[in-house]
Amino acid sequence: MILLVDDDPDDAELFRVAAAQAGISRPIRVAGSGIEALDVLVRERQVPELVLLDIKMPGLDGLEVLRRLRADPATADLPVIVLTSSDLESDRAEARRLGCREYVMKPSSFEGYVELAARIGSNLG
Amino acid sequence: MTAFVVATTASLLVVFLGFALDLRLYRTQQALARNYAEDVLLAQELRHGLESQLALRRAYVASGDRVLYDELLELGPEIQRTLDALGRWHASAEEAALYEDLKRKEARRREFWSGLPADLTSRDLARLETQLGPLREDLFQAVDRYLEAKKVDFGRASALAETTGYLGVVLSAVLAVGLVVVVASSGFFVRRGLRRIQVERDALKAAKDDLDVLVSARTRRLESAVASLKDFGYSVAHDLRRPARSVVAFSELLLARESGLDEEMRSHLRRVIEAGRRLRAMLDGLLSISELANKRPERERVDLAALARELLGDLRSGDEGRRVEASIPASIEVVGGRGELHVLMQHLLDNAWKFTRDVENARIEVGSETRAGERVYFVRDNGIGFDPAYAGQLFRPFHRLPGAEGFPGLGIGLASASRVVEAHGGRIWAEGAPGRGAAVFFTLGERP
Repeated sequence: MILLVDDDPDDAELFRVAAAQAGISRPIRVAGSGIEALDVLVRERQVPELVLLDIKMPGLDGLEVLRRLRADPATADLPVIVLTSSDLESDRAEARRLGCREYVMKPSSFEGYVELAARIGSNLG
Repeated sequence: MTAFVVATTASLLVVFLGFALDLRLYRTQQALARNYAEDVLLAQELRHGLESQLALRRAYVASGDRVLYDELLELGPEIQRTLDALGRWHASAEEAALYEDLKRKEARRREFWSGLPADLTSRDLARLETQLGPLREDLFQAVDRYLEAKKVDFGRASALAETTGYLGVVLSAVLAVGLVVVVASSGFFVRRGLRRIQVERDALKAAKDDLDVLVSARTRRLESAVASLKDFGYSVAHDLRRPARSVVAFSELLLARESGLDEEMRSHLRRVIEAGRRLRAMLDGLLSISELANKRPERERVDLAALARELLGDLRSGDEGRRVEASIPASIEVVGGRGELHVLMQHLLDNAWKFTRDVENARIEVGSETRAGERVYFVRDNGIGFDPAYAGQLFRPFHRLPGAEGFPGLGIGLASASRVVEAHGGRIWAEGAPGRGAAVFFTLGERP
């Protein structure tokens, strides 16, 4: 299972369709906010193969979600890819410090999403 | 202030007058003391002498004693000396006239005597008495009148001296009071003036403080307004990119599906995609403009000529069919942010390249010159030019002038260039005419 955390349903839908086109067969679960993501990971104790995490979200933002995941031994080792439209150097540095696997800018076209999904799919094997 | 000047002047005048009067009275007093007493004594001595003369003569006439006669002769010059001494000084014209009268009468009597033989007998004298008597009487009268006048003058002078003594005291008092008034009033007025100056200074300072507070409050408000406007522009551009991206991406998704769409629908979808991409490009442009406007450029040494050669090289290799003559000096050293100046020169050269597309013998010139002591840089082309009436609109974002329709572009280039120049503290302007090329000039706020 791949957990996609993004408050923008458009982005989530684009990734979902692109993942399908890229041949990713794993189920994709979408959390529309930081709270919802923590619900899935901490309360439901779901363990996804990969978390795709947006940063700019209302309420609990992506960096705060990542901080809490890293603080909890049960989720500290989850592989996380930050997928964001924020190119702020401070965000990038903080995400790296918190041990995200990759920091990826959201693609600006559908083809970009397909390429991204294909890359993620091949990494997951 | 006027009151102070008047009071001071009046007080000083009083003091001066008092001083002058006092001085004058003092001198008079001195003169009186020296002369009047002496003169009265002299006049009395004169009368004494004359009386002695008369007594001696009578005694001689009565006794015939020769010794008396000799004494009488000795008395004459003595009287003469006394008379001369009196002539030194006269207190008044009247006194002078009386003195002259006295002298005349004495002279007449002496003249009479000098006409007589030296050794007169007492009988001779007795005989002469009828002639001597009136002369003597005249002389005595003159002496008495003179003495009387002297005494009157002496009395007047004494009274005056006494008065001046009082006056001196009074004037000294006035003087003292005047001085006190001057000092006191000047102190009062000076204090009042100082107080008023202090009050005005306080008021001025308060007004200035108020103004400072007002100005700094306004400045803060303006700064935060500008900052929030910049932030607003930035975040609007930033946030609108996502829905624009969604429009393009979902349209592409639809277009990628093989079934269900006829050719007209597909054409419409392509227009949606094209519009979405343009929107996205405009937002990217806006974003880069607000980034340029928000950043303070570095102060590096940058060679605009080298930058221009590099950029023109890129343009040539991207458009190999075109022949464009370039004129760029060996170097144009400036101080500024390398990245920003790269953006600036890129936009200016892109425009020059673009708008000389349809011109034969296309030519682009990069250079610098000094105008009114200021370094001015320029990029000039011989392209389609522009109507100078629109020169002011050139630097507005998304603003394209009439005539530019056939050329690609969003109207971002000169707006970005303008932001770069402004961030460097310089100015930018354009000169041109339709069909006769355009030149963009700019300064970089360098100190001459």
